[in-house]
Amino acid sequence: MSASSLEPLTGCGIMGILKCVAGMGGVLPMIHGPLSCSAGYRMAMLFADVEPLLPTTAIIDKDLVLGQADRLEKAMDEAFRLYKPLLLIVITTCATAMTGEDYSRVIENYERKHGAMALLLDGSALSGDEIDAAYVTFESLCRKLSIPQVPQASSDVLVLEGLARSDYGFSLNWEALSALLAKYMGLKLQKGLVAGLDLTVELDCYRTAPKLFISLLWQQNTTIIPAPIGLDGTMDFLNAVASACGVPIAKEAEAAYENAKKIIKPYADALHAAALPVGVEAAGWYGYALAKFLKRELGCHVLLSVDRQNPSIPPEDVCDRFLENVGRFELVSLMEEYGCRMVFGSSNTQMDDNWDYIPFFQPVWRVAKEVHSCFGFDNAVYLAKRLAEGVRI
Amino acid sequence: MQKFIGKMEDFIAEGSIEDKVFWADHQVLGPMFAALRVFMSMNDVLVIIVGAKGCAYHLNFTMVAWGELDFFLGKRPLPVLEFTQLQIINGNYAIPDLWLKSLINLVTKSKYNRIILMPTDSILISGGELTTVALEIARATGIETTPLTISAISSANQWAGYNAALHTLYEPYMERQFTKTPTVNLVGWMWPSRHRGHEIGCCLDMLGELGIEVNTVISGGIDIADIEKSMTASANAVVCSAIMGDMLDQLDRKGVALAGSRAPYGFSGTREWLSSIAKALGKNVNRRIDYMEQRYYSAFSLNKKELKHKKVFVSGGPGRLVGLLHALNDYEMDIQVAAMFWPHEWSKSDIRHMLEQHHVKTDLFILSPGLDDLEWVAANYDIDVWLGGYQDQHVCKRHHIPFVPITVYQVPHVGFEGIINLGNKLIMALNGHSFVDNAYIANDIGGYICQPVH
Repeated sequence: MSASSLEPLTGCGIMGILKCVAGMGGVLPMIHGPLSCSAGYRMAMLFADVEPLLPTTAIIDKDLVLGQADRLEKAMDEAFRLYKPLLLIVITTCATAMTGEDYSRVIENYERKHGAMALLLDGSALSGDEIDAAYVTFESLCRKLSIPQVPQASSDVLVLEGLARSDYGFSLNWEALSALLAKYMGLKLQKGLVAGLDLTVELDCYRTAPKLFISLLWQQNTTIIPAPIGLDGTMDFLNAVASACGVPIAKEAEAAYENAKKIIKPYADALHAAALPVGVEAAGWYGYALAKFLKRELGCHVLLSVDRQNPSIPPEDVCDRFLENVGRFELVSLMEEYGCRMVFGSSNTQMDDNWDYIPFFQPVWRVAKEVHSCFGFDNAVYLAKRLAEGVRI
Repeated sequence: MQKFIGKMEDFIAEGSIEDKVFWADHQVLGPMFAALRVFMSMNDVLVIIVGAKGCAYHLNFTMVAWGELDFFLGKRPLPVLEFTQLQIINGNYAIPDLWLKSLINLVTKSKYNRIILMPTDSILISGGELTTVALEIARATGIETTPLTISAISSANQWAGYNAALHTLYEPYMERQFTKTPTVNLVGWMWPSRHRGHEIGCCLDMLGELGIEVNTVISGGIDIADIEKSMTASANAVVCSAIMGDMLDQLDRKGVALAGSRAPYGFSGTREWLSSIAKALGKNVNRRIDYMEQRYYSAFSLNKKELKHKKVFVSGGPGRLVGLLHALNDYEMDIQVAAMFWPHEWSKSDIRHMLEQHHVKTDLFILSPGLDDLEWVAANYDIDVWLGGYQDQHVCKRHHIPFVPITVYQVPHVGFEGIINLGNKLIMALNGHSFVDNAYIANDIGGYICQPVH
């Protein structure tokens, strides 16, 4: 959040943790802190379209005076009695992290008593925000579940780790990525941890599968795997995967690219001529790729607000105005000032009287008339057409 | 967390409530949300979250996703003055110049008359206080700025937040004398809407038909100045009983009588609410209440034929549950289990009222239900229809129980028309209608209104 910004785009560590584990089979996340933290962040379960089961120890101020280890231990025992999770994830909040109480004994006791796993994660503002927490959560899960960072064997399957079940449009994007990898590289996309892997049955296959990192974890790779948005963006994605996995790209990909380029041309020409002002609010992996497509391939003037800047991508390469971690009302005001006529983002940026809107980023709470993935050649054509026709240039 | 599972008759006994350490809560919101809801729905109040930004992220979502369109809240700013934990521990609350400049820019575009600073947990736990920050913001913006002293950790439910917000609003006027008018305030409606098809519109319409003038709606859609005006009313009546608090008792002692302390649900509850308000204002409107009730009686009777003796689960907050008990009791439904999301100081007396005055019967009463409790109820009771919080949909789907949400809806559940709407929905659910469109939006029905014949 910049020093001048009033309204950040991102939440605290709890959000990052829950974005990773919402919908993960065999896992029960539990908030060790006040009810407000579990109540507020139940939304991550709504994003993932699962039941909002997020128990809490519901502590209040007077409880802190007495220490919380015993309370936490009892709550964890109750969690096991009721739900018997393979892995119980205890998430501390500002209140419980700030007291500095050591819960390692509680975690050890739980594992010994119940023969099940438990993990303590810091969701407080002490540990950074949701972006930091996602990486920490993934690394902690890998350690806890003995997942090798380097895959043991290569195969015809691939995990694109980081594509989270809580991402907006997860199902459609999953299908689009699966289709791209299958059609042009002969690879089968396998579910990642944060895509709602069921630890009770799918963990062994996951352990040995090769992994590349995207979306929530996109800065985990040494080389960026860009989101396959736009025609060039889709080719960049295929090339990056090919290079990382050592798997060739089928010739049909080039043909599909050239064909789509012909179809998109009249729309792109019209959009270039109109220099359409477009706003994008998104997580970095999605946002950079969409902005690049809009600016480089369609000639739009792009205002981009992402959760966190990627230092390896110069903002001027992908947009005309760049914002880091600016959201909600403040972002809407800036989009108004910019003269946006089309906006991709969360429902926070939906202003039906001001601009055409395409849902692109959580939270999306209004029902959208039509929802498409933005991934791949065909969807790039759809987007170009939608922009050119939707705003009646 | 305060927990009780047992007979409703035992709940009202002394010492019935236990403290529990595990809560698979799915419905309750916290004190920050409650306070934010009171202030953010006002026209000229700006709330600033001070400390951790995460609170603003989820509070904004909960407020706006719920009320933006349905209840005309629109988009509103919720700025964050972020301090790192290290700054908070060191007591370093210096406001960045650029942030202050952005704030000045924001407040000059809108007419704010009050800024409320809402601290997050770290600040209160470390003993920090925001008086200096408030002074600096007031000096820079020229707007009166007040720090609250509640945060997430202040309570395991909304009540402390409602109470703190009401105190902040009313304290400036408590020592002053006001000339009373024969009017009533409607307390606890926290959206800007006054639409006839919404619950506030129903309440305003009922009182209008009885010739009872509403002074002020507290606090949705009003200005700070309206709080002072509300001191001239002769009575306060609640639209949402969750907001009941000691501020209303204090106002009662200052001459704004607390009438209609339970929201107007069902035929019995609506009659009680209207009669209580009329009595506080010295009016006799019983015949007009009869006329109003009679207009809905045939629809009520038709619904009752279908609903009588049906086995029902019902849940709600401390206000709504009591109201729904009125409605289900009026339909003579067989209430198997009643669950109260969270309690306030008046909950036991409200339940006692329902037991003693209305002879409500249930097999089981649950205070602070978790998803584990709901699962247990669904598995162990033979429920024909389930009336509960929106996220109860998952339990109901698993157990194939017809479901009517009582937390995400638009048409009134209050008033004489409300019991018809509720009855219609219960019958529709029993006949297979799904009220659950997606994770956010209820597939609600149109409301039933019988206007008077002039």
